[in-house]
Amino acid sequence: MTKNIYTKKSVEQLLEDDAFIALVRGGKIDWEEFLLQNKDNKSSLLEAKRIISALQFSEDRLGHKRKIDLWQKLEIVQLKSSKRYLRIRILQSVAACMLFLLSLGGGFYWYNESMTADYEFAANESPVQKGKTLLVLSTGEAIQLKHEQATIKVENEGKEICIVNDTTLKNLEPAKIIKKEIKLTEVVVPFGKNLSLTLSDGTKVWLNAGSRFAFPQKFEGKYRKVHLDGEGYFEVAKMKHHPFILTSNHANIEVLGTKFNVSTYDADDYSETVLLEGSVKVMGRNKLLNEKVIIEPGQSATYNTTEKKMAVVEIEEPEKNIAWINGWYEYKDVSLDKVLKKLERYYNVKFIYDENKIKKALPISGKLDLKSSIENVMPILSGVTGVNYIITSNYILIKH
Amino acid sequence: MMIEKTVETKCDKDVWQDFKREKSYALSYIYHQNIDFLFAYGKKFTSDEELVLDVIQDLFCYLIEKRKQLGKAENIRMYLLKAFRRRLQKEIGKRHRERELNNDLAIPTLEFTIEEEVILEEEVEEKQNEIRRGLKKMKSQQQEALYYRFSCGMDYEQVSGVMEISVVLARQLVSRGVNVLRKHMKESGFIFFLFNWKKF
Repeated sequence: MTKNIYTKKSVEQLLEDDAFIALVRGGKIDWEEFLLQNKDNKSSLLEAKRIISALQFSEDRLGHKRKIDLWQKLEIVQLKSSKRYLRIRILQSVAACMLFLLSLGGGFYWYNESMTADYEFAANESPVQKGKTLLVLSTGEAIQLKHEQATIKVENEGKEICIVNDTTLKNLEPAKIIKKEIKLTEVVVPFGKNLSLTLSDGTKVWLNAGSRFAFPQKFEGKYRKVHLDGEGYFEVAKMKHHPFILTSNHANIEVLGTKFNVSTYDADDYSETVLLEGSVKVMGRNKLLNEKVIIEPGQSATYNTTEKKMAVVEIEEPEKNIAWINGWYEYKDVSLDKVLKKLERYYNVKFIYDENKIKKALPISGKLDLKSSIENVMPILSGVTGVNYIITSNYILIKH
Repeated sequence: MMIEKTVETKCDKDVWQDFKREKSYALSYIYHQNIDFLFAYGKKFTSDEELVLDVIQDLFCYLIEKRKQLGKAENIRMYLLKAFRRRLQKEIGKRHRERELNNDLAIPTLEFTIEEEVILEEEVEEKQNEIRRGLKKMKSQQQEALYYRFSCGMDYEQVSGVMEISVVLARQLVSRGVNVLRKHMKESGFIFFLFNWKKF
């Protein structure tokens, strides 16, 4: 079929021929066959084909993330321009309070031979926004947990990991020592989920939504070392000669036996530790100053990684900081952006707002039932703070 | 990178209408169908990715805000391409003037380069790389015209529309560009021949 059309054309004519250009660009024909059929004109066809194919380039690609970022901006523009834009009026009421609680973060870093390098999560999907709670064994095997609120216990001196109400993983060899680095077991708790965990020494850990936590199946050596990106409440089993060290990218905490709550999300610029019992040493990860404080029950230590400052304050009712374990948040004089970040993690939603404006908003106090839906929570928040919002399928837009 | 003429046109017209009527799928469709193309295309005029993205964002914001007033689009990609090229030209000109204050009357021509450096792609045969090197010998306008004609598969009317020149000039640019490439091919082919001939 292509035979007669192309036998007599010169290179110039072929390059004027839209159909021929489309044929080369399409790249779907067998050229050997084609040239054989048109062998009288082989050299012209070949030259024209070469020129056209030489002009097909591999193109610069835009990364997926930037593509999505730009798309989100445009969606907002579209939303704003649309008539269907919902305006929710706010009552400027001073009274109501919302809140949730904030665990205090403390920064801590124990910078000596016991804790040198930063820990890198094997499960390195940092914003753990989606999917199920994951247990990543030291072998690298990942297990999905079925329950929204899972419970895991390390038993039998680290030889068994038991997922309560699920399966027991038996006969797990304790982590092998490879190049002096102990491979850790990890759990990844996505936004909207939480998990409780009992470690091999009997220490109990509750992990809040959006957290990653790494721990050895069995503690060996002088220190009991774990690593956290997120929020957790710890009831550390007392072992006088084996300090328990929690590292994070913002700060480290060292304790002997105690109860404390720490919020140290990589995505935040602070680490907040609240102590309920015992004593802890909190060290900001500022290698030059190695700032450290020892706090007492009822105190919180907050290390701000941007300002590199540690602040210790007294907390009236420190147990409110761990209310999240029971499904509610209580907060007092907390900035709106902190509240929004907490809600993002707990409800697995995304807020879009102007950070500078939000930071100027007055601190708020209140109590929030985490079991009610975000649709019920937003009107209350709006009432207290006076912000407008729009809920879409992908995010919640906050307006002033 | 395709500018399809027959298949998409009918459909494009409807999508564009839907976009103007604020049907929410239309923007998403238009954006996702064209973002890769616009980005790659913009990169041919400047290596500044942020600039390219800024202009893309401005273009879409404009389209969204003015959608009721927009004209018809038979071929969305062509429509976007023309509008984008114009905006990019303006923006590059503006930045250029900001840099060269003493020279604020000179409007720079849009510099189009198909490739900054010819990357030797392994899967492309050596002769094709040779042809690409020939591109460096021609003017930016010629390169641009060749790009629309052969890389995007446009006809002359489309080429002239995008470049805002006459169809006659578009034809001239393409045919002169082709001549440069062919001449370059022959010369380098001859050198190649001599070089290998010595070996025998």
